[in-house]
Amino acid sequence: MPRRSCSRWWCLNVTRGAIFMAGRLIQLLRVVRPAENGEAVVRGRKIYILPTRYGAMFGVLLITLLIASINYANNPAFILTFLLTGIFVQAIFHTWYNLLDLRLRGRHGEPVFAGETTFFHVRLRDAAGRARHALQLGFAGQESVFADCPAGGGTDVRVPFQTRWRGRLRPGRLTVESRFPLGLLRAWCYLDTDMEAIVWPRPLDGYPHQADPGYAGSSDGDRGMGTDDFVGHRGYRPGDPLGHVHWKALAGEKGLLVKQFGGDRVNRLWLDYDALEEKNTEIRLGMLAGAVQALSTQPVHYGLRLPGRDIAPDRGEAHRQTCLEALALHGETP
Amino acid sequence: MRDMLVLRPLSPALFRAGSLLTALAALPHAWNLPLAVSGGFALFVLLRLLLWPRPESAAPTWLMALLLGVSVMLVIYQADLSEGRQFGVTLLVLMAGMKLLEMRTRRDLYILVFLGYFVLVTLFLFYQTPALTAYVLMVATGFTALLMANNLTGDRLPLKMLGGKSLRMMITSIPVMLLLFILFPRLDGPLWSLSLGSGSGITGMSDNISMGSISNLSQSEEVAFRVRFHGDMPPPAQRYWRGMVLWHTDGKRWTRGESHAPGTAFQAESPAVSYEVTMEATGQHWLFPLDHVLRPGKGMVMNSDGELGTPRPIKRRFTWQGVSAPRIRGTHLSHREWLLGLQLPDNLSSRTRRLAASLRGKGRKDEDVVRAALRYFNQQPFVYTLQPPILEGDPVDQFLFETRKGFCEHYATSFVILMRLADIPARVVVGYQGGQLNPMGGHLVVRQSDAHAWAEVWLADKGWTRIDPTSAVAPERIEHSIVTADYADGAPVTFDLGRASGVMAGFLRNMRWLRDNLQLKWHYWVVGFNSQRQQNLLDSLGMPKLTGYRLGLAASLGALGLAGLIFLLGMWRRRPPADPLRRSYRQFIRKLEKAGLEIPPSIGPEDLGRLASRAFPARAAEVQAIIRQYIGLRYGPNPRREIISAFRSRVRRFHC
Repeated sequence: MPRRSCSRWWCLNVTRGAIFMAGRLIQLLRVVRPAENGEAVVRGRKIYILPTRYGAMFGVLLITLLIASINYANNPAFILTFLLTGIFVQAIFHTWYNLLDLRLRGRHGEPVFAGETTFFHVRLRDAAGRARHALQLGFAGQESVFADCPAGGGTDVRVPFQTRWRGRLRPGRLTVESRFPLGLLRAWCYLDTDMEAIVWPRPLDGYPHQADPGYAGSSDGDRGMGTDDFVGHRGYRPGDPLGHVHWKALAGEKGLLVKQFGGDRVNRLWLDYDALEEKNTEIRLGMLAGAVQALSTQPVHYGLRLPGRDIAPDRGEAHRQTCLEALALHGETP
Repeated sequence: MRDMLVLRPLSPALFRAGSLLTALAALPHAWNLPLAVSGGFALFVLLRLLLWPRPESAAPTWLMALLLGVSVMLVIYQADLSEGRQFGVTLLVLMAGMKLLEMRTRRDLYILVFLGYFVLVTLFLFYQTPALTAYVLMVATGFTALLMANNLTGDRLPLKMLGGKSLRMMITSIPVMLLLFILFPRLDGPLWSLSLGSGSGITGMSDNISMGSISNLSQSEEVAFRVRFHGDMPPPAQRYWRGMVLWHTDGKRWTRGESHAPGTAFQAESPAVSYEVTMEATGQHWLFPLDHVLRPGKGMVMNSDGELGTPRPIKRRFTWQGVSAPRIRGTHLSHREWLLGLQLPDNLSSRTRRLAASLRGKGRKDEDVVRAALRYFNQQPFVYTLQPPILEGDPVDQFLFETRKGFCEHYATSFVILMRLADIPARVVVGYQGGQLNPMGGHLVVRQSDAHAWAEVWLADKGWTRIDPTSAVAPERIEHSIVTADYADGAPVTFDLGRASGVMAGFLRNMRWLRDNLQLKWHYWVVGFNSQRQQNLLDSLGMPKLTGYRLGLAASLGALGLAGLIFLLGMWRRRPPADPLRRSYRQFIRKLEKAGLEIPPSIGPEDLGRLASRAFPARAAEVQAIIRQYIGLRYGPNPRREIISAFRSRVRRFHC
């Protein structure tokens, strides 16, 4: 049936056209972009403004008042009605003005586990000498926060983003809006930022325990550094912990010596991606993240072995973050 | 993004401010709403403040439903349903009270503020004074500040910021308001018919009198009307403001009688005077033109007696234009008028009849009879008093022969009776006489205390002629106003001779005139601004073609344009002052160029110095000094302001 297929073809084309047009429209959207120094300035042309629900109600009120004034030919009533009309016009201007020339600088978000809320730090600054009131900042579909910016000063705002998946989170456009002063109008602008946050995989249980080969103790004997067994003395080098200084030797005028400890009991563990039986990548990563979380509170050195990347065993907060970040960005195409 | 603020519970400060402002907005309504309605509103406020003084807990839903029922009953039973105004206001005030009772979040406060604005506007349906307008604007500013506070993130009220900002918004709205006020098309009638209810307590002249009725009125200082003359003001003795003509009497009361012939115009026999009267509401049809009126204005009716009126009762301050002449050409006396002009009550005493016969005499002309009657009032011991004794039985007889104390209506009515007894057609005219000049506004103020009654007699060669028997008793009355004061019974009236006693009295008098002038101006430019005055104003502004839909178009386009202008003014930011150092350096370059030096566009200061030194060897030292100082200031550490100004003056002094 050629006719039907023709109409289907037509339909398809119209749909394609609509999608294309929508894409073009989005391109036409006026968006505030940061300058070279990283600070974005909200210019007048970038600000959208429309009445709020209360603005519409106010409009209905004005029309009602106008009809009453006309009907009763009441001039003082006309005065108040027109004055309120003027105030509405003023409100358009003031609402717009509350955003105008606002300066924003987006910073990176805090790393969190998937499912948690990360906060993007945005620095608001005013250089026009006007205090900005009740600015509402938020990402599309996310909770928003309010902030005030003092005249000539700045303020830091933490804008929340509820994360879902691990990876490098680019939150998209930040909407900055203002209903101040009267709440009758909403002025807003979109801010494109290069902000991003690392979202770690949601930690899962189920990483196999010590019996597994991937979770093996060191077999290298007494060499290496540790904190457990006393090995001997050596000369002091700057940076040695004071607790290790051999004070008695110092008192006996034998020079500045430090005690050396061996690390034979230190568990040097490898967390191995390939050793997991689970086949789903995301679950594997989650298990590894869970293991990293669990090990980070224990006195062990752990390393991470991912396809294409090894992280040598170590411990501490920086190491934990390195591992989690590696898990978060696993599979990312550079 | 969802507006998160509106969901927030009200802070105690916002809650209290909202309650206070709503109460302030509704307060003046207490004087014109039924007590039950005002009481209901006050009860709602009290309930809220006593039972739920905290914003987060409000009246429960069942109570709201109950109160809604009670309110509806109140509205139906208390408000006069036939009067749309009262009905709507009652509903509105009760709704505001209920909103106050149930408000919890910032969303509720929006509704409260909108209701508050509405309540404020309805106040103007009852009062239109400048004082109330000022009050309303003040409360409206408060509401605007409240709306602003409702949009702050904090819970406290920074009163200074809110007050300043809302006041500034109000003031900057005035241009748009003025433009719309002047240009918005005014309709001549209402959109749908309305009944404003009968104005209660309106005082003024009524269309029937008995002895003692005007003297009651005369103790009121209230303004009856104000007159602005286009040209010279007639002398006091000619300031008779003609009201109603009374033909018929039963011996005690005088009434207009029935069925009056319509009149079109009277012919002037002396130069005409035109004027503009702004009269207070009377609730009646009558206008009081200067005697004698020539023709009715637009929207007025006149009859052959020279009575002027409007088709509808005057329920609000009203301005009209009049044309009058002191003397008019006599008209023909119809048979009906002749009969009415000689009508007499049945039971006149024989003393009265004898007096009339003696005045008539033998073969006297009518003019002489009138003169004899006036002489009688003048020579017998009659007293002009605001507190005449109460007359019983035959009032004419008692007044003429026993009490002999009376006010203008006593003299006018008994004079007319005497004339009719003497076969001269006569009638009583009531209205006002005199008026005081307001030296501030240049207009005449006629008060209720200027109410007056006089007589008109028919003289064959002159027609109806005004005779004021009061002037025979108290000639001062015609020249001066009465001093309203508490007079003892039968005490003679004192007159306002315009002498100020003491500085304070003079000051008070001036303040009174100022207030009077303000009232007239307020009425002229604000309350009474109608389509006609709008057109006059547009004509005088050179825009006579602006009518009808063009006017509406101009109003909306003008408001938009003005709003745009405000936008542009706001966007226009003063450019930061250019760097003073650079400005001076440019000046230096200009000076060199003027002296004939050709300077390449991109030349550094050092090269410029060398170039200039070579061109003007005589000034080389000075040039080098300037260049050195410029480089030091430009590229050195933060320069001091004094050094820069020293540099600037050095450049200024420099010449090649």
